[in-house]
Amino acid sequence: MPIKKSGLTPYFFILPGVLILVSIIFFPLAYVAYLSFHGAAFLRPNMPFIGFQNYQGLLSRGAFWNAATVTTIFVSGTVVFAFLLGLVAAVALNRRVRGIWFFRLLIVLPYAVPVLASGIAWRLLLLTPFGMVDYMLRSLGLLSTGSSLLTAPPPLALLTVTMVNVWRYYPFVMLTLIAGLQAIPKELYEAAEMDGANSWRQFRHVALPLLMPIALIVLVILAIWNINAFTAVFVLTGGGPVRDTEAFALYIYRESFTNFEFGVGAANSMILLVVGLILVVLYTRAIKKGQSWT
Amino acid sequence: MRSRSKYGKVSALVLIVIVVVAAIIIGAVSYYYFSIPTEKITLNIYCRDFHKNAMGNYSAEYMQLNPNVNIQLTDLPFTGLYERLTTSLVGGEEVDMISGPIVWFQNWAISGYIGSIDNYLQSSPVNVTDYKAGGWNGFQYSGKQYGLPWRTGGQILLYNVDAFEEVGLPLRGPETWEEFFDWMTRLTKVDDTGRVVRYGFGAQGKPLSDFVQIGSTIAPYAWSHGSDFITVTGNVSKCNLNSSTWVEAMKFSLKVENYTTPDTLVTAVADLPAKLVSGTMAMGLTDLKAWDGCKSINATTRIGIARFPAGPAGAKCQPVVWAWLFPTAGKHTEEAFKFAHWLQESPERMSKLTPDSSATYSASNTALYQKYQLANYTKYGAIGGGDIAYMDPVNNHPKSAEVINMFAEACSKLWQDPTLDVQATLDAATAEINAKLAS
Repeated sequence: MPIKKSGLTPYFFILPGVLILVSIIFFPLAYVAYLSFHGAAFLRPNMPFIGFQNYQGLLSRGAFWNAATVTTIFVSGTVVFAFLLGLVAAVALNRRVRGIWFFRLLIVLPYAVPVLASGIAWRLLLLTPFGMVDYMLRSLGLLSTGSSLLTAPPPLALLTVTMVNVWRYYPFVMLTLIAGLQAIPKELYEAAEMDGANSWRQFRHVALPLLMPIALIVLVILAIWNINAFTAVFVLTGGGPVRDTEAFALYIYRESFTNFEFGVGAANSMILLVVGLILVVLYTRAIKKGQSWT
Repeated sequence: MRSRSKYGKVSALVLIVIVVVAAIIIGAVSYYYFSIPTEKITLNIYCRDFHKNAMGNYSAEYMQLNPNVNIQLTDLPFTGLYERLTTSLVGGEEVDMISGPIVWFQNWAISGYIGSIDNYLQSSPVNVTDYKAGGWNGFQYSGKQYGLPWRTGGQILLYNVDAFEEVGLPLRGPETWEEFFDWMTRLTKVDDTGRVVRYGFGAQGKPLSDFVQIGSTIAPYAWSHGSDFITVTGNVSKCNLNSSTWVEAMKFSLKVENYTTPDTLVTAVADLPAKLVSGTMAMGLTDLKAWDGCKSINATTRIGIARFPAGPAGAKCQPVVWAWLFPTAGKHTEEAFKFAHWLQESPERMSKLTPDSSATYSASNTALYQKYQLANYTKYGAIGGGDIAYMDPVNNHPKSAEVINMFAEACSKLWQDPTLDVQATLDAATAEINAKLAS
């Protein structure tokens, strides 16, 4: 029996979904792009077209490059250290022993706690005069009286914020890599063992290469998530001291909602969008690579 | 015949019920739509959170005196206040009176969101000589008066008397910057291991972020040496932050910081009284609320109070003055102005509305407040940062809020990293500020 041509009918079925996507994703993006080419400010009644002036202005601002530098350090630090810590935790907990689930649960807790709550908790731990961590460091002579990790000179404050972020994200890395490790056939380890490989060499030559596809995906996902980091930085330091921890998202927020310069904020957002899109392309390539490896 | 008569009675009864119900409905509708209005007007006012109790009490008193007026108060905290007020004004909210500081109102005035009060001043004149000139003039823009000042950011110096006596200092505030620096170094005490056990000086505020507190040593120093942060010539505004006077002011501030740390020089408001009472800090630049804080911790600790810095050094004043402003979207501006005027007329009401004399203050503190508060009334005299005879033009500039933030950032960078070259850092900041002023 010949199959009846469906014609336009399928498109009508997907139309509501498309309309929702357009209204909540594409329209706001298009409007931000539109604003970025206009002199849009809250207190100005007109919104003249100014071409690339907003973009040109950005490049000459110290605050823009500061935010870019802070974000680069923040994202790189988070990705590298969260991955390393997550990998170590994954290897350590990839065992079939009694009660291992309890340790996995403990380690996953930072990821389960809401960002706002964990940010406030860390702020209380790190700030003088009541911060426990601060007090311990001062008792050990590692911090001078009156100073705090969160108000320390650069780069200590940024390092502190990055480490808090690592604490939050390494459980995700651990969970993902554990899944990857458990997908590796045991026979490969046995074969390597029969060839005389010790634990380290088994890990180096068997586990690690086979973890690469999933590791690549994890690295790119971490970068995508943290390039837009706002809540943790806002709660911990508010971008201070001075602008030492002012990540890009916070900088955009300040320009748009404190200085009410929507055109400038939109231009910054477009730049962040381009960077994000590059990361998304890398992510899709990583997935394809992963699929081809398997 | 009988059935017809029965039906007739029922019909009549039904008809009467219908008529009565209709009459009730028509009467109620008529009363609702056509009744004579009572001419009661509602004033929508945004006040500050710290004086909501006093404002509530005075609003009730005003409503009793003016039965046709209903006042609705909304109290707002300082956090995010600029954003809250700006979004409210731009959104066209029907608010009749708001409380705003000197550094924000120009943008609102230029954009037409707040209106001039010159017409209302003609019909309800205030005695301008009752106000400090800098405070009154500070709320003028383009020759028009926009605000009715009601508070200045008065700062006072509290000092630990025992510490002063220990090092042989007279029980008064330092009267020159040099004297202040000398006393601060003499009051700073270190133990045998070199650890500082008493800091000579500290100011209240959030570390490395607050212009008013950071500017407590930098801006007043520069102003008292004759330099303004911004010079306005015609339409051209120029920042003087990298001039020799401001560089000297910054270096002075850094010298001060050598005797404190960022967290001590700028101390949270809640912590400063404890540091003074415990003797961890010998002098604290703060407001009168901290006086109560000291007394509540330990009423027997001797705490002195003084102007900072007194004498010629304190001739130029605090940068922040607050005023009642009148949004153009408000429906009852004239009545709102009358209310603000009524508040201003009474020194007692004014003293209760400022944060340093909340309803919880005792009579002795009120007297202290009246003696020492940097009030906008000349009749109270002044102790604290100065006499508000003058305001740096930065306060009257449309971009004041932004450039002040940029100024604070430059100061913060140097405070945070004293190894930076002061002139070079201020040169860079000045260039950026001038670019902002020109944009």
